Amino acid sequence: MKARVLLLMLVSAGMLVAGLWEILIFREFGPMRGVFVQIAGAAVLCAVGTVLARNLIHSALYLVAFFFLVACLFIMLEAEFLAVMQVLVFIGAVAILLMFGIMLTQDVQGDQVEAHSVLRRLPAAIVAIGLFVMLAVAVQQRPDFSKARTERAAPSVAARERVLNQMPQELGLDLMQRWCLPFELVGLLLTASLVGAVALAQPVGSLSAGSDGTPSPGSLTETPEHLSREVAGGTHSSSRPDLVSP
Amino acid sequence: MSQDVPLNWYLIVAACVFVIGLFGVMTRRNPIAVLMSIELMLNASNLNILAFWRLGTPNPGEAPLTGVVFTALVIAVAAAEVAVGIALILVCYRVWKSADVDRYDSMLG
Repeated sequence: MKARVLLLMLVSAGMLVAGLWEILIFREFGPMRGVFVQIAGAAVLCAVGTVLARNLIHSALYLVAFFFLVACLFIMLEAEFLAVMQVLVFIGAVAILLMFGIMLTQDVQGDQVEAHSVLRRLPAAIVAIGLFVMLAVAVQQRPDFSKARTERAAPSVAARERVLNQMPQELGLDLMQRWCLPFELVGLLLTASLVGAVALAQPVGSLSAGSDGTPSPGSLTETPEHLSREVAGGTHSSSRPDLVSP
Repeated sequence: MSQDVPLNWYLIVAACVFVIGLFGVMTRRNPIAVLMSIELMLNASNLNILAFWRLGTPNPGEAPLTGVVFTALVIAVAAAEVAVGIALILVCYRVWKSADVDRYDSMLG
């Protein structure tokens, strides 16, 4: 009973603090900017977590949160369709693929230990902060367009505002008409890269194992044993002699 | 509505995330962590493109959806890049039996 009361008080105190925080933020920045500041701050924090987390799984989870917050920023930019694409592609495919990669490369030696030496981080931090200062100065000094230039762009801005509400339809039409060639090229690139990824990820020698079983002449000399063992124990079990000749 | 947030804020946030990703690429040793940092940088560039599309001043006579199409293509390229990257990391892991970019020191294996 006592613990429950304590928990209730803790939760209400937390909500009070959160409410005060929200009031403070929104009074300081106004509605849209308040939302933006919070989403962007959370996104930057998640990015820092991705880079600094020692455990790779935690890193990947931070990355998922970051992708989701970027999708939120896309919605604030009124590109809802792209936000959906971002969630589908990055969280649905890329993050899962990364998880698979982590799981597949960590089974033998739990190689989660990162060298946290200052010697390694200091130059990187200097370069990164220097680049950020450069970018920030460039952004702050970005000149505005002249009035005449802005007026000439007014029809384009109006057209942009018009397509916002039927984004998927307009995007589909545009991809089929105006940007047909880049669209097809990206399709070709995706096909080629996925086929290449499948071909790369196969064990070396499994392609030629069906013909004679000997590794190709240019193959690795360091690890023939473990590779052939892998092939024999893997999908190509028919190359095992005890199964081929009963 | 969205014009409420100035373009510069988006640019600063994107620059911040890009720089964090760059730091990760330079300091992490696990190749998958390096790939994640590259994803951070790609997302920062996507955010930049989209912010310029929505809030910037377009060229006169520019098509209305340029930035959106560009971002969609970048997302597709990012997916392809991750697939090939993971496959390469698996091959490297199989050859060197370690997930550490410092130990990948020859192209022959």
